[in-house]
Amino acid sequence: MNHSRHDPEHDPREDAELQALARLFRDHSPSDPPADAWQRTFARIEAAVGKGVPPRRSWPTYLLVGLAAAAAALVAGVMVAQERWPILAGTAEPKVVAVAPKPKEPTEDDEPFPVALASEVHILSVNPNEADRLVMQGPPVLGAFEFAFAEDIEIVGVEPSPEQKKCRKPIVQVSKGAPMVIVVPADDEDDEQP
Amino acid sequence: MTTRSSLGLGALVFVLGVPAVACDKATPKKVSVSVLVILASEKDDFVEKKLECIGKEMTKKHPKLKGFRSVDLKSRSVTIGTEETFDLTDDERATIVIKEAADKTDRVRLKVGPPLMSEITYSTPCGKFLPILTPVKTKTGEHVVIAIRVRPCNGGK
Repeated sequence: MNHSRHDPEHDPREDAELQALARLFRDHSPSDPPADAWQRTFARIEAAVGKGVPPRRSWPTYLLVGLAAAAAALVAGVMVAQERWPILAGTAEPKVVAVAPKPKEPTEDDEPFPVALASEVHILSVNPNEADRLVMQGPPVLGAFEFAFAEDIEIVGVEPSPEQKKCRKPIVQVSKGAPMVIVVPADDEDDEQP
Repeated sequence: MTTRSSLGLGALVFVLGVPAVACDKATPKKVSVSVLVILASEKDDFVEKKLECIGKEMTKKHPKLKGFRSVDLKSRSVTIGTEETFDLTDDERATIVIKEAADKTDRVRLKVGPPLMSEITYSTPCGKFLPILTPVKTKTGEHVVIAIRVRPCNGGK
Protein backbone atom coordinates (compact mmCIF):
# COMPACT_ATOMS: atom_id res chain seq x y z
CA MET A 1 0.00 0.00 0.00
CA ASN A 2 1.38 3.34 -1.11
CA HIS A 3 0.92 6.29 1.01
CA SER A 4 1.83 9.79 -0.10
CA ARG A 5 4.43 11.71 1.84
CA HIS A 6 1.95 14.01 3.38
CA ASP A 7 -0.07 11.13 4.58
CA PRO A 8 0.34 10.67 8.36
CA GLU A 9 0.71 6.96 7.88
CA HIS A 10 3.54 7.44 5.29
CA ASP A 11 6.59 5.23 6.08
CA PRO A 12 9.97 6.63 5.04
CA ARG A 13 11.37 3.13 4.68
CA GLU A 14 9.23 2.66 1.57
CA ASP A 15 10.92 5.54 -0.09
CA ALA A 16 14.26 4.02 0.57
CA GLU A 17 13.21 0.74 -0.93
CA LEU A 18 11.94 2.40 -4.05
CA GLN A 19 15.08 4.34 -4.41
CA ALA A 20 17.11 1.16 -4.02
CA LEU A 21 15.10 -0.52 -6.71
CA ALA A 22 15.58 2.35 -9.07
CA ARG A 23 19.30 2.28 -8.34
CA LEU A 24 19.45 -1.39 -9.12
CA PHE A 25 17.56 -0.99 -12.38
CA ARG A 26 19.82 1.79 -13.52
CA ASP A 27 22.92 -0.15 -12.64
CA HIS A 28 21.70 -3.29 -14.29
CA SER A 29 19.60 -2.03 -17.16
CA PRO A 30 19.31 -4.33 -20.22
CA SER A 31 21.42 -3.46 -23.21
CA ASP A 32 19.89 -1.61 -26.22
CA PRO A 33 19.09 -3.71 -29.22
CA PRO A 34 21.65 -3.68 -32.02
CA ALA A 35 21.32 -1.24 -34.93
CA ASP A 36 20.20 -3.82 -37.47
CA ALA A 37 17.45 -4.84 -35.10
CA TRP A 38 16.38 -1.22 -35.00
CA GLN A 39 16.50 -1.13 -38.81
CA ARG A 40 14.36 -4.18 -39.15
CA THR A 41 11.93 -2.80 -36.70
CA PHE A 42 11.75 0.53 -38.45
CA ALA A 43 11.22 -1.24 -41.81
CA ARG A 44 8.34 -3.25 -40.42
CA ILE A 45 6.82 -0.12 -38.97
CA GLU A 46 6.99 1.69 -42.30
CA ALA A 47 5.52 -1.22 -44.18
CA ALA A 48 2.73 -1.49 -41.70
CA VAL A 49 2.03 2.22 -41.90
CA GLY A 50 1.68 1.93 -45.77
CA LYS A 51 -1.04 -0.73 -45.64
CA GLY A 52 -2.35 -0.51 -42.33
CA VAL A 53 -4.84 2.44 -42.50
CA PRO A 54 -7.13 1.93 -45.54
CA PRO A 55 -7.40 5.14 -47.74
CA ARG A 56 -10.70 6.88 -48.10
CA ARG A 57 -12.82 4.75 -50.57
CA SER A 58 -13.64 6.46 -54.14
CA TRP A 59 -16.19 5.42 -56.73
CA PRO A 60 -14.97 2.70 -59.14
CA THR A 61 -14.34 3.85 -62.69
CA TYR A 62 -16.67 1.34 -64.26
CA LEU A 63 -19.45 2.51 -62.01
CA LEU A 64 -18.92 6.12 -63.09
CA VAL A 65 -18.89 5.18 -66.75
CA GLY A 66 -22.04 3.18 -66.33
CA LEU A 67 -23.84 6.00 -64.60
CA ALA A 68 -22.77 8.46 -67.27
CA ALA A 69 -23.99 6.16 -70.02
CA ALA A 70 -27.30 5.67 -68.29
CA ALA A 71 -27.75 9.41 -67.92
CA ALA A 72 -26.93 9.98 -71.60
CA ALA A 73 -29.36 7.28 -72.63
CA LEU A 74 -32.06 8.80 -70.53
CA VAL A 75 -31.56 12.25 -72.06
CA ALA A 76 -31.52 10.85 -75.58
CA GLY A 77 -34.68 8.91 -74.94
CA VAL A 78 -36.46 11.99 -73.71
CA MET A 79 -35.39 13.96 -76.80
CA VAL A 80 -36.55 11.25 -79.19
CA ALA A 81 -39.85 10.94 -77.41
CA GLN A 82 -40.42 14.68 -77.67
CA GLU A 83 -39.68 14.51 -81.39
CA ARG A 84 -42.14 11.73 -82.06
CA TRP A 85 -44.82 12.82 -79.70
CA PRO A 86 -44.81 16.60 -79.63
CA ILE A 87 -47.43 16.56 -77.00
CA LEU A 88 -44.73 15.55 -74.53
CA ALA A 89 -42.82 18.71 -75.39
CA GLY A 90 -45.91 20.79 -75.24
CA THR A 91 -45.51 21.78 -78.92
CA ALA A 92 -48.30 19.63 -80.38
CA GLU A 93 -50.97 21.44 -82.34
CA PRO A 94 -54.49 20.97 -81.22
CA LYS A 95 -56.10 18.04 -82.94
CA VAL A 96 -58.85 18.98 -85.35
CA VAL A 97 -61.47 16.45 -86.09
CA ALA A 98 -63.17 16.89 -89.43
CA VAL A 99 -66.31 15.17 -90.42
CA ALA A 100 -66.30 13.89 -94.01
CA PRO A 101 -69.22 15.30 -95.95
CA LYS A 102 -71.89 12.89 -96.87
CA PRO A 103 -71.58 11.93 -100.56
CA LYS A 104 -74.20 13.62 -102.67
CA GLU A 105 -76.75 11.56 -104.44
CA PRO A 106 -76.24 11.86 -108.24
CA THR A 107 -78.80 14.19 -109.74
CA GLU A 108 -79.68 15.24 -113.24
CA ASP A 109 -77.24 18.17 -112.94
CA ASP A 110 -74.36 15.75 -112.52
CA GLU A 111 -74.87 14.13 -115.87
CA PRO A 112 -72.18 15.00 -118.44
CA PHE A 113 -73.20 17.61 -120.95
CA PRO A 114 -74.05 16.02 -124.29
CA VAL A 115 -72.13 17.17 -127.34
CA ALA A 116 -74.22 18.27 -130.30
CA LEU A 117 -74.07 16.30 -133.50
CA ALA A 118 -72.75 18.16 -136.51
CA SER A 119 -76.00 17.29 -138.27
CA GLU A 120 -77.96 19.07 -135.57
CA VAL A 121 -76.12 22.39 -135.83
CA HIS A 122 -76.65 24.96 -138.57
CA ILE A 123 -73.65 27.24 -138.77
CA LEU A 124 -74.98 30.45 -140.23
CA SER A 125 -71.65 32.23 -140.24
CA VAL A 126 -68.18 31.64 -138.80
CA ASN A 127 -64.71 32.91 -139.55
CA PRO A 128 -63.08 30.15 -141.63
CA ASN A 129 -59.84 30.56 -139.70
CA GLU A 130 -61.63 29.77 -136.45
CA ALA A 131 -64.19 27.25 -137.68
CA ASP A 132 -62.35 24.25 -136.29
CA ARG A 133 -62.62 25.66 -132.76
CA LEU A 134 -66.25 24.58 -132.78
CA VAL A 135 -66.56 21.22 -131.05
CA MET A 136 -69.27 18.87 -132.22
CA GLN A 137 -69.67 15.18 -132.67
CA GLY A 138 -68.24 14.34 -136.03
CA PRO A 139 -65.44 15.73 -138.20
CA PRO A 140 -64.16 19.31 -137.74
CA VAL A 141 -66.27 22.05 -139.30
CA LEU A 142 -63.62 22.98 -141.87
CA GLY A 143 -60.97 20.31 -141.36
CA ALA A 144 -58.71 19.37 -144.26
CA PHE A 145 -58.93 22.00 -146.99
CA GLU A 146 -58.96 20.31 -150.39
CA PHE A 147 -60.08 21.50 -153.82
CA ALA A 148 -61.54 19.27 -156.52
CA PHE A 149 -59.60 18.73 -159.73
CA ALA A 150 -60.94 18.35 -163.23
CA GLU A 151 -60.92 14.55 -163.02
CA ASP A 152 -63.06 14.74 -159.86
CA ILE A 153 -65.95 16.82 -161.24
CA GLU A 154 -68.50 15.71 -163.78
CA ILE A 155 -70.65 18.54 -165.09
CA VAL A 156 -74.10 17.05 -165.71
CA GLY A 157 -75.93 20.14 -166.89
CA VAL A 158 -76.17 23.93 -166.95
CA GLU A 159 -79.55 25.64 -167.15
CA PRO A 160 -80.85 29.10 -166.51
CA SER A 161 -82.31 29.75 -163.11
CA PRO A 162 -86.10 30.00 -163.27
CA GLU A 163 -86.08 32.64 -160.51
CA GLN A 164 -83.52 34.96 -162.02
CA LYS A 165 -84.28 37.15 -165.00
CA LYS A 166 -80.67 37.78 -165.87
CA CYS A 167 -78.13 35.07 -165.32
CA ARG A 168 -74.69 34.57 -166.72
CA LYS A 169 -73.46 31.34 -168.21
CA PRO A 170 -70.56 29.89 -166.30
CA ILE A 171 -67.23 28.89 -167.79
CA VAL A 172 -65.37 25.88 -166.52
CA GLN A 173 -61.69 26.68 -166.14
CA VAL A 174 -59.56 23.56 -166.32
CA SER A 175 -55.79 23.41 -166.18
CA LYS A 176 -53.57 20.39 -165.89
CA GLY A 177 -52.43 19.84 -162.34
CA ALA A 178 -54.61 22.63 -160.97
CA PRO A 179 -57.99 22.70 -159.23
CA MET A 180 -61.07 23.20 -161.35
CA VAL A 181 -62.80 26.56 -161.00
CA ILE A 182 -66.08 27.80 -162.46
CA VAL A 183 -66.06 31.45 -163.42
CA VAL A 184 -68.25 33.93 -165.15
CA PRO A 185 -66.80 35.70 -168.14
CA ALA A 186 -65.16 39.01 -167.58
CA ASP A 187 -67.37 42.09 -167.68
CA ASP A 188 -66.36 42.95 -171.23
CA GLU A 189 -67.51 39.62 -172.57
CA ASP A 190 -71.16 39.09 -173.52
CA ASP A 191 -72.47 35.86 -172.17
CA GLU A 192 -75.89 36.47 -170.76
CA GLN A 193 -78.32 33.65 -171.09
CA PRO A 194 -81.89 34.43 -172.09
CA MET B 1 -92.27 -27.59 -152.62
CA THR B 2 -96.06 -27.51 -152.89
CA THR B 3 -98.04 -24.56 -154.18
CA ARG B 4 -99.44 -23.90 -150.74
CA SER B 5 -96.05 -23.72 -149.06
CA SER B 6 -94.60 -21.48 -151.74
CA LEU B 7 -97.53 -19.11 -151.39
CA GLY B 8 -97.01 -19.04 -147.67
CA LEU B 9 -93.30 -18.38 -148.11
CA GLY B 10 -94.03 -15.54 -150.52
CA ALA B 11 -96.49 -14.02 -148.10
CA LEU B 12 -93.92 -14.22 -145.35
CA VAL B 13 -91.33 -12.44 -147.48
CA PHE B 14 -93.86 -9.78 -148.39
CA VAL B 15 -94.81 -9.22 -144.77
CA LEU B 16 -91.19 -8.92 -143.71
CA GLY B 17 -90.10 -6.86 -146.70
CA VAL B 18 -92.71 -4.10 -146.70
CA PRO B 19 -91.93 -2.71 -143.24
CA ALA B 20 -88.22 -2.67 -144.07
CA VAL B 21 -88.79 -0.64 -147.22
CA ALA B 22 -91.22 1.61 -145.45
CA CYS B 23 -88.75 2.28 -142.64
CA ASP B 24 -86.00 2.95 -145.13
CA LYS B 25 -88.11 5.50 -147.01
CA ALA B 26 -89.39 7.09 -143.81
CA THR B 27 -85.92 8.06 -142.65
CA PRO B 28 -84.77 11.10 -144.69
CA LYS B 29 -81.15 11.01 -145.65
CA LYS B 30 -79.06 14.08 -144.98
CA VAL B 31 -75.80 15.41 -146.29
CA SER B 32 -73.64 18.11 -144.75
CA VAL B 33 -73.07 21.04 -147.11
CA SER B 34 -70.42 23.69 -146.50
CA VAL B 35 -70.22 26.99 -148.38
CA LEU B 36 -66.98 28.95 -148.09
CA VAL B 37 -67.23 32.62 -149.05
CA ILE B 38 -64.10 34.09 -150.62
CA LEU B 39 -63.51 37.70 -151.63
CA ALA B 40 -61.32 38.44 -154.64
CA SER B 41 -59.88 41.94 -154.73
CA GLU B 42 -58.57 43.97 -157.64
CA LYS B 43 -56.71 46.28 -155.27
CA ASP B 44 -55.39 44.30 -152.31
CA ASP B 45 -52.82 41.70 -153.37
CA PHE B 46 -52.90 39.62 -150.19
CA VAL B 47 -53.49 35.95 -151.05
CA GLU B 48 -54.26 33.39 -148.37
CA LYS B 49 -51.97 30.41 -148.64
CA LYS B 50 -54.73 27.86 -149.11
CA LEU B 51 -56.28 29.96 -151.90
CA GLU B 52 -53.15 30.38 -154.00
CA CYS B 53 -53.96 27.62 -156.48
CA ILE B 54 -57.51 28.70 -157.24
CA GLY B 55 -56.41 32.33 -157.30
CA LYS B 56 -54.03 31.58 -160.14
CA GLU B 57 -56.76 29.80 -162.10
CA MET B 58 -59.22 32.62 -161.67
CA THR B 59 -56.76 35.27 -162.78
CA LYS B 60 -56.41 33.45 -166.13
CA LYS B 61 -59.91 34.63 -166.99
CA HIS B 62 -59.88 37.68 -164.72
CA PRO B 63 -56.36 39.15 -164.78
CA LYS B 64 -57.41 42.13 -162.72
CA LEU B 65 -57.92 39.98 -159.64
CA LYS B 66 -54.94 40.20 -157.29
CA GLY B 67 -55.87 39.16 -153.78
CA PHE B 68 -57.96 36.31 -152.38
CA ARG B 69 -59.11 35.85 -148.77
CA SER B 70 -61.73 33.68 -147.07
CA VAL B 71 -64.21 35.64 -144.99
CA ASP B 72 -67.07 33.34 -144.05
CA LEU B 73 -68.07 29.70 -143.71
CA LYS B 74 -71.61 28.35 -143.59
CA SER B 75 -72.42 24.74 -142.87
CA ARG B 76 -75.58 22.76 -142.32
CA SER B 77 -77.06 19.35 -142.83
CA VAL B 78 -79.50 19.28 -145.74
CA THR B 79 -82.08 16.73 -146.68
CA ILE B 80 -81.69 15.03 -150.04
CA GLY B 81 -84.05 16.52 -152.55
CA THR B 82 -84.79 19.66 -150.53
CA GLU B 83 -83.60 23.05 -151.78
CA GLU B 84 -81.57 24.97 -149.21
CA THR B 85 -80.71 28.67 -149.38
CA PHE B 86 -77.42 30.12 -148.18
CA ASP B 87 -77.20 33.89 -147.65
CA LEU B 88 -74.00 35.32 -149.11
CA THR B 89 -74.51 39.05 -148.73
CA ASP B 90 -77.39 41.24 -147.61
CA ASP B 91 -79.04 40.88 -151.00
CA GLU B 92 -77.63 37.80 -152.67
CA ARG B 93 -77.98 34.14 -151.90
CA ALA B 94 -77.13 30.72 -153.35
CA THR B 95 -79.35 27.66 -153.56
CA ILE B 96 -78.22 24.06 -153.27
CA VAL B 97 -80.16 20.84 -153.83
CA ILE B 98 -78.70 17.41 -153.21
CA LYS B 99 -79.98 15.32 -156.08
CA GLU B 100 -78.49 12.00 -155.11
CA ALA B 101 -76.77 10.77 -151.98
CA ALA B 102 -73.31 9.28 -152.09
CA ASP B 103 -73.01 6.18 -154.23
CA LYS B 104 -70.58 3.33 -153.77
CA THR B 105 -67.75 5.50 -155.05
CA ASP B 106 -68.55 8.28 -152.56
CA ARG B 107 -69.77 10.67 -155.25
CA VAL B 108 -72.69 13.03 -154.67
CA ARG B 109 -74.81 14.72 -157.32
CA LEU B 110 -76.04 18.21 -156.54
CA LYS B 111 -77.41 21.31 -158.22
CA VAL B 112 -76.02 24.72 -157.31
CA GLY B 113 -77.73 28.01 -158.11
CA PRO B 114 -75.13 30.80 -157.62
CA PRO B 115 -76.46 34.37 -157.55
CA LEU B 116 -76.93 35.93 -160.99
CA MET B 117 -75.73 32.73 -162.67
CA SER B 118 -77.18 29.66 -164.32
CA GLU B 119 -77.78 26.61 -162.21
CA ILE B 120 -75.06 24.00 -162.43
CA THR B 121 -75.67 20.30 -161.84
CA TYR B 122 -72.59 18.22 -161.25
CA SER B 123 -71.30 15.20 -159.38
CA THR B 124 -68.39 15.47 -157.04
CA PRO B 125 -66.48 13.33 -154.58
CA CYS B 126 -67.14 14.00 -150.92
CA GLY B 127 -64.91 16.35 -148.99
CA LYS B 128 -63.60 18.56 -151.84
CA PHE B 129 -64.40 22.20 -152.54
CA LEU B 130 -65.51 23.46 -155.97
CA PRO B 131 -65.02 27.23 -156.25
CA ILE B 132 -67.38 29.39 -158.34
CA LEU B 133 -66.58 33.01 -159.17
CA THR B 134 -69.91 34.82 -159.18
CA PRO B 135 -70.81 38.18 -160.76
CA VAL B 136 -71.65 39.53 -157.31
CA LYS B 137 -69.53 42.35 -155.89
CA THR B 138 -69.49 43.77 -152.40
CA LYS B 139 -69.87 47.43 -151.55
CA THR B 140 -66.09 47.71 -151.53
CA GLY B 141 -65.83 46.29 -155.04
CA GLU B 142 -64.58 42.83 -154.13
CA HIS B 143 -65.79 39.86 -156.19
CA VAL B 144 -67.67 37.13 -154.33
CA VAL B 145 -66.44 33.58 -154.81
CA ILE B 146 -68.25 30.62 -153.27
CA ALA B 147 -66.66 27.20 -152.76
CA ILE B 148 -69.04 24.29 -152.11
CA ARG B 149 -68.27 21.01 -150.37
CA VAL B 150 -70.49 18.08 -149.41
CA ARG B 151 -69.82 15.46 -146.72
CA PRO B 152 -70.00 12.94 -145.14
CA CYS B 153 -71.00 10.27 -147.53
CA ASN B 154 -72.23 6.68 -147.56
CA GLY B 155 -75.73 7.06 -146.28
CA GLY B 156 -75.63 10.65 -145.10
CA LYS B 157 -75.02 9.90 -141.43
